[in-house]
Amino acid sequence: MSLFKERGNDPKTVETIIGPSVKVEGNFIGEGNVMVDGIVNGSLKTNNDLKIGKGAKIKAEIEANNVVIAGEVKGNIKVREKTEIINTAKIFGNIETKVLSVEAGALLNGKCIMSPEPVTSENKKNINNNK
Amino acid sequence: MYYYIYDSYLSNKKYESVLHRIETRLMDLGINGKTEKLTLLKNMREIVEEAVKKGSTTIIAVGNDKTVSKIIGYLPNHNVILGIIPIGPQNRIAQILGIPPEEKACDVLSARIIEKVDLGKVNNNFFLSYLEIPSKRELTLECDQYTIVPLSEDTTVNIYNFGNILNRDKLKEKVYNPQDGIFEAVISKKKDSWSPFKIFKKSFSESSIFPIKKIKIKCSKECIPIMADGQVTIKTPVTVEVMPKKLKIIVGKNRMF
Repeated sequence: MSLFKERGNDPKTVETIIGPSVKVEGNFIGEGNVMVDGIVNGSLKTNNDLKIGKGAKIKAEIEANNVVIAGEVKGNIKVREKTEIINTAKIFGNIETKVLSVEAGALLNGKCIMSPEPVTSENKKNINNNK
Repeated sequence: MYYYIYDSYLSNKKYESVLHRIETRLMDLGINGKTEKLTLLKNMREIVEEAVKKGSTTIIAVGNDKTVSKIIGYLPNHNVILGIIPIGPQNRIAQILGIPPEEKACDVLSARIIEKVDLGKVNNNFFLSYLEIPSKRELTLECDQYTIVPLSEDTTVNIYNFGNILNRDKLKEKVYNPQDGIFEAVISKKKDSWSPFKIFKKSFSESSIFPIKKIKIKCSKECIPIMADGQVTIKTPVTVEVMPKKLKIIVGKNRMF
């Protein structure tokens, strides 16, 4: 799976696009796929897939199903399935994911936790309750 | 019962023959009714209320997109169905609804395929197709839990229900779903703003698209004029919200949604 093939990306499945000419501040919660090429400060969550472009600058906690990162992220990232880090990515934060792919040249400063059941804010409460 | 509202520009002699053909076709189909012609002296609210008072269940806008825009503001308060007979240029709404021009539209009216479409409310006004907001410094768009700030003044903000009805390149124009209970807030560079379809070409990631149900548009420096459906002007601050499936409208088989 690669969400970052420029030609293969079907625009009809991308429901939110945060382009290079906008800044989003606050808690963004999307239902569909999200593509970011601009600035996001706060938190960024979606039930589907997230693509962070080369020019994106994100200072936010991130949660998504699958994520492809080519830009700059300062914040923790929680991914239910696969995380793909492209060589232009710069990540300052922890990553929790099921499957991880990292291209040579990517910058990652943080912890990386991989488990069959990645912890998101929803099932974290269930785990704490069971304890 | 049908009530036909004719726009004032149709009083021009060049429309005489087409109006005659339309009236003949309506009579043949048995759907002729009361007619009213718009003039400067007549208030649209009074015309619509009079139509409803006389028991009209279907109000037909005879004219163009501007005619439709003038009428829809007064329909949500009444349980009436809107129909369109498009005449002349600037009839993008009818095209999206699958309504052919002139007398062919009468057959669509007669077939009476009715769909409920979303209607936009901006402060106390209504719009059917889109809003256009020029980007200015300090312009912000506030959604439920987040705020969108355009970073450049060289952008245009559009909020779409149907799509941009002023686009000249009609065949390639993207039509959004007017029945999904969601509007699309599209922020694009000024040269791209006339063609949202370009979002899906190489300049895909240069524009921004946010699906919204309610949004507040503010500008701290000045009041910005907002254009609704290409003609009505409202000034910020405004609250834009979707009224899901609020408007009943007669559509054709070849509608674009």
